Amino acid sequence: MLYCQAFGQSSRMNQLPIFTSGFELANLAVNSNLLHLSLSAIAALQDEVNRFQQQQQQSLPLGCRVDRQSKYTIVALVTSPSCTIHHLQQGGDLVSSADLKQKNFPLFEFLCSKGNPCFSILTAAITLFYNCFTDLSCLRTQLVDPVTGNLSVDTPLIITGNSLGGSVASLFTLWLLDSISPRSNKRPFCITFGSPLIGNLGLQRAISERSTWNSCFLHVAANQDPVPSLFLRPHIPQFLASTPQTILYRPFGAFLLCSELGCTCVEDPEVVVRFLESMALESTGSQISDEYLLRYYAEILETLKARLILKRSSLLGLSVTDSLEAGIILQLEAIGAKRIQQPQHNKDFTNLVSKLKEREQIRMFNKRKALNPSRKLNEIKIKMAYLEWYKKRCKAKEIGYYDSYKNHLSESDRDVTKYKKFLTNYWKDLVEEAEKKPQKEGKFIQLTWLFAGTNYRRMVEPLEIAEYYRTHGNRNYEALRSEHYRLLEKWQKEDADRPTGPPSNKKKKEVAGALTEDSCFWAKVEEAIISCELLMAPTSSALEKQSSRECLIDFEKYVMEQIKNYAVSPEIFLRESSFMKWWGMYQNTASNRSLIDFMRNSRNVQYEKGCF
Amino acid sequence: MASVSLGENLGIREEVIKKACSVSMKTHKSAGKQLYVAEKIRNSHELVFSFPGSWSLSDWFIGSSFGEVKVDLELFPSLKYIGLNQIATVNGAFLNRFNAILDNTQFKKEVETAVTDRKQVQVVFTGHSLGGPIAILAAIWFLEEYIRPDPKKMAPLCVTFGSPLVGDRIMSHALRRENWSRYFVNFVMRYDIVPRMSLTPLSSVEQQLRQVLNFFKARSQENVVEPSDFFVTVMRNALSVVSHAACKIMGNTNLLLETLSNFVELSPYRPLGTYVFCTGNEKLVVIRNPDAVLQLLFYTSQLSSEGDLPAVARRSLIDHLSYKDELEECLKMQSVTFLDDHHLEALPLSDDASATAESNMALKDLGLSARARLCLRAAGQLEKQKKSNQQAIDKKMEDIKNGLGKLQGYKDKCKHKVGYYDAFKISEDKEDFEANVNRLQLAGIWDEIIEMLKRNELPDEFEGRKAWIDIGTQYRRIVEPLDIANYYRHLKNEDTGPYMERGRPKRYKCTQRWREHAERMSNESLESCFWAEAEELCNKSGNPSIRDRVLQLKRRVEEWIRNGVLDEDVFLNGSTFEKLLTEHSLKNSDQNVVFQGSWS
Repeated sequence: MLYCQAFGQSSRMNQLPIFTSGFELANLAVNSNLLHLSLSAIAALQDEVNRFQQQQQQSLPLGCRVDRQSKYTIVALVTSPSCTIHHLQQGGDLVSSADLKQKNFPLFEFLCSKGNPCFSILTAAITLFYNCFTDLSCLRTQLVDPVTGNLSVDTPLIITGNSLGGSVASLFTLWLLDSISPRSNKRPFCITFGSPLIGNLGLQRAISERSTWNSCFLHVAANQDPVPSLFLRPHIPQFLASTPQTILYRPFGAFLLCSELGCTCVEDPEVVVRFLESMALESTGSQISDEYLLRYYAEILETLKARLILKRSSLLGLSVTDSLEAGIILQLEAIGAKRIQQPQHNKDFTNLVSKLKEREQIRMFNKRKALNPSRKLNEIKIKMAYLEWYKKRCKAKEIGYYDSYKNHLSESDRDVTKYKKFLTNYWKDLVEEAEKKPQKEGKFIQLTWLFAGTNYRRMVEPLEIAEYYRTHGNRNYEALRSEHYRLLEKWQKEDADRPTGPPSNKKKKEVAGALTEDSCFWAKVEEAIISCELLMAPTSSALEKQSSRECLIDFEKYVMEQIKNYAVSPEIFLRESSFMKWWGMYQNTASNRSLIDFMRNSRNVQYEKGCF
Repeated sequence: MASVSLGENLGIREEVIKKACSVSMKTHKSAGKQLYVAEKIRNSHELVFSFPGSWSLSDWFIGSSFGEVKVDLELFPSLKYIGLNQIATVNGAFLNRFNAILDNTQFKKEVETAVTDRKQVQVVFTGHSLGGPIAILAAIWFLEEYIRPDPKKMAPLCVTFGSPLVGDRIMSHALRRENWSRYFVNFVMRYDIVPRMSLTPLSSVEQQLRQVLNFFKARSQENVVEPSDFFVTVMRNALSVVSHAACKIMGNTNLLLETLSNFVELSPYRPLGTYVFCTGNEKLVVIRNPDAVLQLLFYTSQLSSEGDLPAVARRSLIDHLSYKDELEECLKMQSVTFLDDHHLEALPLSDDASATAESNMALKDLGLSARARLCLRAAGQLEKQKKSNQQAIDKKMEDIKNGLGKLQGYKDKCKHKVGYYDAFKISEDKEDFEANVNRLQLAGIWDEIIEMLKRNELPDEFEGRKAWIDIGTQYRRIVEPLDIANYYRHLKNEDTGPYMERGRPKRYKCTQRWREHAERMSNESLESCFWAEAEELCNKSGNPSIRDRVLQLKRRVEEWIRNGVLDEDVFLNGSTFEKLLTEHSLKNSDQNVVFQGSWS
């Protein structure tokens, strides 16, 4: 088929040269002034908090201030001087979402999804957040319009904080993001300075599962600040090998890593970890102590800003010709990795560079792979067109595609099996993916694909049913129905969530070509036939007969409702169809007057024309 | 690399460059008195139009931030991204100034005389400083006015010296698409601040800018209070633009870029045409890749150390005034480096590589750091990638032709019945079904092309290629009726709205615009979607007031048939259109007879 090779991109993938743009992004961030404005807001607030503490002889756990400037609205959060690095070093443990729920603080439960059911947060951060919950709630109502779900500030919103204050800023931003309608295109931007990692893999996943959330965070980490890399490894080294994933800290969002030599910006968590490790290794012994950290960040940013328009000399040797490798080495140089000069470390360094290279290649590969979802949709449409044609031909043979496929009458049934398989695989995957997503996000996927999905379900599920009842003795399809059909139907019903009035004219006009709405219709027909057989078989017990009769009466009623709603395809009335077979067996025992009238007087002819 | 001279490479006689430069500088003297100066080059066929600069603030920008406005498509019909229907942006102050010249002077007349001269006069537009943008706009206007209707006419030239940037990325894209980019040559001194100034929101530096303009006006006699501050501001704004662009060309996947873009004000202006950078020591570097030029605008002015700032800042102003002397030296030396895309992607990353010594010397003279070189590599690489994308879809052309052949066969076959529109709408037979599969396969290919256009993954030239415009038109004419039939068969108009308003796929809108642009049509060419209008009129049946509209449609259909862009099968008995005409008693009695004759 001419369509299948879609421009053959994947085969060339690995030869494509790759660049890393971490530098350029960092330039843009430092040059933007956002970091400076945030830092000054923090510093001003910190002074205020310190003064308050001196005067009142008591400490506030958290200070916060909304600063409405001409271009931005900046919300700064600072912790009192008592929340320091010692505090962190003592309390570096994680609390799981399950525990939080148990302790009656399920605020962040929205981060859980079916694919990512739990996460853990740094206890120190969540405790502080919990203690200041009243203030933060109040702050939230100032910032989000509860009716529209939009941000209620006029200028772009920045949430910022340093150290543990930054951690609270991150949590607060997450809470805001959840309060904002996914349709809103204005989101807050969270900038932290020297904050510790605050969550595990679960938290990282929860944030990156939502397409836009991860890009709302920028964590600034300078090389002589010990806090950002504090929790990189579990604090008790002997547990390293056996440490389960759930208690390992993982970064999320983007990181601006800097030293007085330069800076770079990375997002891939794997790369962030490696860079942080590298910075921690280099700076042991020259760490800045607590009270000077804010000033340290201010100075570093000032230096970096001034250096932006200066050339940086590099030690990049002649031997490096690969663009990606050169980019990575320059980045490592910028964050102060001096190991380049030290031959004894050279092997480690080479390893690190090649690991980072590999990550970039994977990232690029994934990006290219993800590019074109609509290409697949066209393939799906073609397969569906084949099935439509099959349906049409069967109709001409007076049998209907359901029974034709069930009886395996023609050569083309084999092709149909092939298309069915292709389509089913596709939709199973898609539904599974959408289901794993967080609710709001998943809902969005559902809507864009729902129309095609409903069409697929109505066309293909009857084939599934035919296959099932082809094997003699199989019963009760609906109980064993595949999950993806069930979900597609559920989503469709949720979407169409409005009272169904009488069928529209359009529906009537279209009924001849339409698919039966209830994709399990044929399963009900099969069950009715089996009931009918039981009812008539002399060997059946009275109890069996009784329950069969009840089933049949229900079925009659069901069919008549479907007909009145123009919800079944007129193809069910074709001479050779299972439905007609059932009617042939049952008509003398039938009890539903409207159905008898409809069938005896061949009203189906009018039905097909839409004027029954 | 430099076995050809500058003149040969640019396709301009060096005599003309020198003349353009000296005239441009001289023209400043007439600023305020004359809007342009026309001068013939002695003993040759060039007529040079030179535009003076201006040192008044309002000629540099008007309005807020960057002072950009959309171009007037009446005046510049080519300045757009055709398929996506995006219009180019231009500096409003420059446009006003150019419009004044076009409206109020003998300019048009003088150009007209030159064009109609039997001796094949080549018109050269030139300008230094603010004269540059006017020369560029004049040259584009000339190309639209004379060359587009008649490509055999003598093409103009545009040579600028220290010109600010005029328009956005779409403007540069459009010039490359029309293959006009080669007529524009811009000389830029290594530190000249003026071309970089366009990357700064001038509204935010009014005070400083006024001083800088005064400095130029006084021919460097007057001291600018603080050139360093101004230089740093301009460079920092340039850096933002350049970094943002570099992220894009490097294939950045970090969504933070989008977040940051919302917070930062970025200039829309981009370079266009060929750039010739003067290194400041008698060397020239020629470069055409617009992404690479943008990067160079920043990186060539980067400082080596903080101590250099006062000297470089001063030089950034003086350089703007020293084109004439510098160029004369350069042309004498003929030390020229050409950086084409294939050079860019393999650029050495450090200074001391000796293999490609000569070109590397020039790069060193421009002061390019390893990071700058990586950006240039990425720009070259991206262009190469676009070319290879284009090759990949060129290969699809065969498949498209095949598919269209099959659908044409289907169409011909259906002429024996009600015509393929209605046959497809009923879809009774195997052929109809096969036609549907063909339709979907073609849609797949075209949708992919549109996606690539949207993501800017094809070379700028793509939309100007005749083969694609033609096959696009053919595709639209044969296949769009099937999409319309499909739309109305499923009664999608009842819940979605009329096809033309809500249901028409981009692949048809885009190919339609290609043709309209290529053939310079002033009206929309809607022949491929007349069925949609017919269907909408059918839906209003019983309403006698629509008879006029039916009649108008019929007249248009007849005209399309006369012009050979629509087939007569639309009149076949039993077709939707024929029924519509019958209902309103508008059917010609001889319509079918005429038709029968034509196909049998």
